[in-house]
Amino acid sequence: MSTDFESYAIRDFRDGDEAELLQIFERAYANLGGYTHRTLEYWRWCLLQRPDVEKSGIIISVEKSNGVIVGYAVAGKSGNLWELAYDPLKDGKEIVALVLRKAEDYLQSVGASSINLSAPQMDRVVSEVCRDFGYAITPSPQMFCAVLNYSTLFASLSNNVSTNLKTRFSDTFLIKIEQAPLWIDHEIFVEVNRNNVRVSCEPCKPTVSLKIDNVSLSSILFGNISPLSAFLRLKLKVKPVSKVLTALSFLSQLQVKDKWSFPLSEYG
Amino acid sequence: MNVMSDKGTFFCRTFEEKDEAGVKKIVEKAFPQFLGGQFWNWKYKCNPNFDPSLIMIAEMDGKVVGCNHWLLRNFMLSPSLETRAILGGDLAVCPECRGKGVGSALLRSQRASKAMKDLNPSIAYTFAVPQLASQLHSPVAGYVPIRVNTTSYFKILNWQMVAERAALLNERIASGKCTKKLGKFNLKVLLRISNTPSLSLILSENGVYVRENVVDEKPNVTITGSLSAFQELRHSKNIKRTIIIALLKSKLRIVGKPKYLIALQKNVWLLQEVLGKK
Repeated sequence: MSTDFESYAIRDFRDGDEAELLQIFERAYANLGGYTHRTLEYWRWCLLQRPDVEKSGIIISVEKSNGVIVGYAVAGKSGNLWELAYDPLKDGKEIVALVLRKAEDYLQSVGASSINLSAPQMDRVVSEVCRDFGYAITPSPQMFCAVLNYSTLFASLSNNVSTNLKTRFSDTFLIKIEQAPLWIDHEIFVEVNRNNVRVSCEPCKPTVSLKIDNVSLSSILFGNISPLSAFLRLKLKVKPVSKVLTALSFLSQLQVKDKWSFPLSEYG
Repeated sequence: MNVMSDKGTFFCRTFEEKDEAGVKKIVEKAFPQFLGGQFWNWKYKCNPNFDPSLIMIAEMDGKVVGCNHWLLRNFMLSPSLETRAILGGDLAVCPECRGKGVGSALLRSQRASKAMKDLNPSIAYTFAVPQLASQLHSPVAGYVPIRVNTTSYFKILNWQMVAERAALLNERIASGKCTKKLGKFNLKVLLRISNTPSLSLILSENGVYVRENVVDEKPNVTITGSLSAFQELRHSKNIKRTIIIALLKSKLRIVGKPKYLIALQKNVWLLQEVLGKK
């Protein structure tokens, strides 16, 4: 069965489409913070084998001229549109409108009473189509994060900005973490010089000491609060005082700046 | 880890194959709203990332009384930065053991487990209702809320769910299980929510009677508003306060004779019962 639009058409899911659908998903989500790598096996489990998904709920949009897949939605009988993705190089508005209309029809036919979907905040295409179709914005699931291993996290964060760190700092930072659960290292050393950035739990002589509680440090690293705000609220103490700006700048470099996005299929 | 409670001593350990039935039973009871709780096989056992050593069990007198599921993921902290992370899945405790520290013990022992030391993930993330997170996840394991870049959209296709909730409410009223008392009254309320079928509710001492797409009947009270205003009402813990705010912001209009509006104000909890989210 296929439904016509101007440049694109809708067709049913066929076994073997998974690889192309995964590619579309990757194009839409792989450049966003919060993305988790997917294999074909994972995609099949996450969507095709999901208990409330039947093959007729996988709605595929193809280019009329050549049959190439340009977008898709996976609708579950529970009313959740587990995934909606489209090729960003194509006319997203037409694709999303086409797929969403078809998803609504499908969900009506299986007796769902509402439709829920999610999209990255900056996705204007979905936002505009949803507005045109009369959707309301509803609170997104709340995500919480905790640090399990500061050494590993500091190592990843500092590797990511190692060039910046190497050119800006020549210090050994001691980060003393207070009110931390037992499984967390209470002292982390980060040695930065022109040649190297080294994170370790082994004591060495620091030039800057930072004292901060676990929740405040996590909040800084995940970008919830700025290092300056933590310092002004007396959550962060720095010794010697002459190194306050260095410490604030160091933490600011390590902060995760991107907000995270996740499709509904990651949550449910 | 052994923990004493007034119900007895429980201890936490990693999942073994013999625990499967007990775990499924607890999950079914704890999460009946999603697929009737029948999702364990798919969500965990069939999951390509399934690792039984990342499931922690609380056991008391040979019975599974709680469980916590974790899944290992490769997580992008930013587009150029990947880290090994743990996705916190379903944490469930059997009803009679809740409030005894089982959930906290599960979270603590999981982090101290051998599997965690071997896998060495740097972060754990989970999706939770803020109330649970502030009572459990944050104080026990230092979870902090994350700024997300995701917008959720919602649309009502029909009022089937409201009709089902009204039927349950009416049963409770008829069997005398409803704690709130209802005086004698009869009120026809018409809801005109943008981009949704119109909904007629007849509120009375017997409960709520629901009809969809009614056009020819004259209501006592008409409530008009946008779907987003209606969503706020559905999620609201204090419906009266939310209605007042929506009226002041002109997001909602309520029209009717004063005597009907007073009757609606007195029995507004009925609306919350049938329209509410849960």
